[in-house]
Amino acid sequence: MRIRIDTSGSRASVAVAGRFDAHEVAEFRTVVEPLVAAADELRLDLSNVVFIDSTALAELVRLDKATRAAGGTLVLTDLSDPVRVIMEITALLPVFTVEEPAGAGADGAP
Amino acid sequence: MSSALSSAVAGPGGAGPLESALARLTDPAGSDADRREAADGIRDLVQDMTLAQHEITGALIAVQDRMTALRALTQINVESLGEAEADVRMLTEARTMTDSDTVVLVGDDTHLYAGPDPEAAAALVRLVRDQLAAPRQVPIAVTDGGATVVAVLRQPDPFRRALGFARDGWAFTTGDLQLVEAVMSATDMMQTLTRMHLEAVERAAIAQEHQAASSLAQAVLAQPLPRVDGVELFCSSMPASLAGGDFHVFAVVDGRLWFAVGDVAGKGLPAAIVMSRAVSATRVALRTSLDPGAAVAAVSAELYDYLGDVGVFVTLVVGVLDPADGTVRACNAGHSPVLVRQQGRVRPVAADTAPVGVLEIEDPTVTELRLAPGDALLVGSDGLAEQEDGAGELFGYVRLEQVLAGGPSSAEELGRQVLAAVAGHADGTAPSDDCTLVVLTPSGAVAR
Repeated sequence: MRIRIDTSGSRASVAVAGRFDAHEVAEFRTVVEPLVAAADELRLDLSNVVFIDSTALAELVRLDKATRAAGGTLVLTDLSDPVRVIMEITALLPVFTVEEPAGAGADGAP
Repeated sequence: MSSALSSAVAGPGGAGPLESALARLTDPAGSDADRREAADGIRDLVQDMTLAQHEITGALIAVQDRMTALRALTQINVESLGEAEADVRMLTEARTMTDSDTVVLVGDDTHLYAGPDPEAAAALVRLVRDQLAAPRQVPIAVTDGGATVVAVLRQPDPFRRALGFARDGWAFTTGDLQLVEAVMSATDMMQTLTRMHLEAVERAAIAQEHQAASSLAQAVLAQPLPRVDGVELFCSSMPASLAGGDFHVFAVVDGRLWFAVGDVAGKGLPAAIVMSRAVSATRVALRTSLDPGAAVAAVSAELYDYLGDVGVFVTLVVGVLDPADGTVRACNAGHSPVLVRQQGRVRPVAADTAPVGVLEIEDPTVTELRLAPGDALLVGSDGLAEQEDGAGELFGYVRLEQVLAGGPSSAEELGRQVLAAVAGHADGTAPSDDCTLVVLTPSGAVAR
């Protein structure tokens, strides 16, 4: 897993690439946790995640709740197919704020 | 070498006193008085030599004793003796080795000593403490005109800061200080070993508690499978480690078979602890709910706050099968895989709601389906589809659906075939997640 962070003003963008699973969650939390309080909008790019497991999904749910509690928003800006599929299967997709990249036409997405 | 011996064998001026005395004894021109004097000289020399020999033997024995003590010191086994006893043994050996009268080991508030005189030991401890409190510390400090040595340890701990050595009125030599140095090194080494040993013991204790907690958590799953006429049930659950987050619960209420399969996000003991609580909540919900949707809502109401606190969610499917007509009503809270085979065609049973712990679930939808002879309902956990082969490729949903589509009609046989296919795919690769499989099939006519 690789994590890239860009912060500008009250907005923080985090891009995760590679495997996002139980082994990576601790590092993800260490890196992203400080942004929850610092940023009004936390944008998470998952377009290069090749595999996600339930522990990582739970971490995303936890992060979503934590940003809400801190008065901010978590926005998933782009989902790779593996992430989209597992979110559809688990009915988690409606839980998150997902922003499709302009002009992108992922299968079934409007 | 003894001075007496060296002067006897090779005295000053070439020929030794022994040879000159022998020459005078055997000189034909010499007087009787000369010969007597020469004989007395020879007698003295022989006596000197005997004394010297004893001296050498004594010195050799002392060296031998010190060597033995040094060996004993390096072989003190912390593991078999325990810490305190090892310290006492070390002091005893150090006392022999350095030929000291008193040896002390001083810690922050403690001290141990070896020697015959407690008062001498107390005085030495005070001296060591003064030295430890001194602004400028040297590793080995000689005081008291050379009769005491204080050695500050390089690997100190609260019980072992410094060693003190004292002789009763005679000084330590430079050679003795090397022995003190050797004692210090051995003590430092022993302390390192002790620390390593204690850490290992602690780790083993934690591992043992972990194992006990894991078996306790896993024990909540141990219940015999219910038998319901008209339904064949297969169930297999394997945690990836000693315990895991997968669970299953069955109940028979009014002739109907209630089933629940769930998966706590995460692995190992932390997931298992949440799992054991989820099992209790589910067990109560199955026995008190009129409908699978109500059961999922009840589990959610019970666990939502708790799951939020611990930051995990639980995927859960609850269903009730009526063996009279094969109808199944199920509520799927984000669980997968849930697959149904009807007339040879396989399709997933979609989620009715997000997993428990994500949102408050109040009135979820319920999926209804019917199992005719030859049909099957398969509920697994993600460990099933996510089993990797040696190259890291997942078993996947497509393979799982294929095995189900072409599989036998008996739940038992079908379940074994699915597990065999997953094991065949893994080909020895260790499972990365807990793996649960429940299969339900209708088993012919129902007598009711």
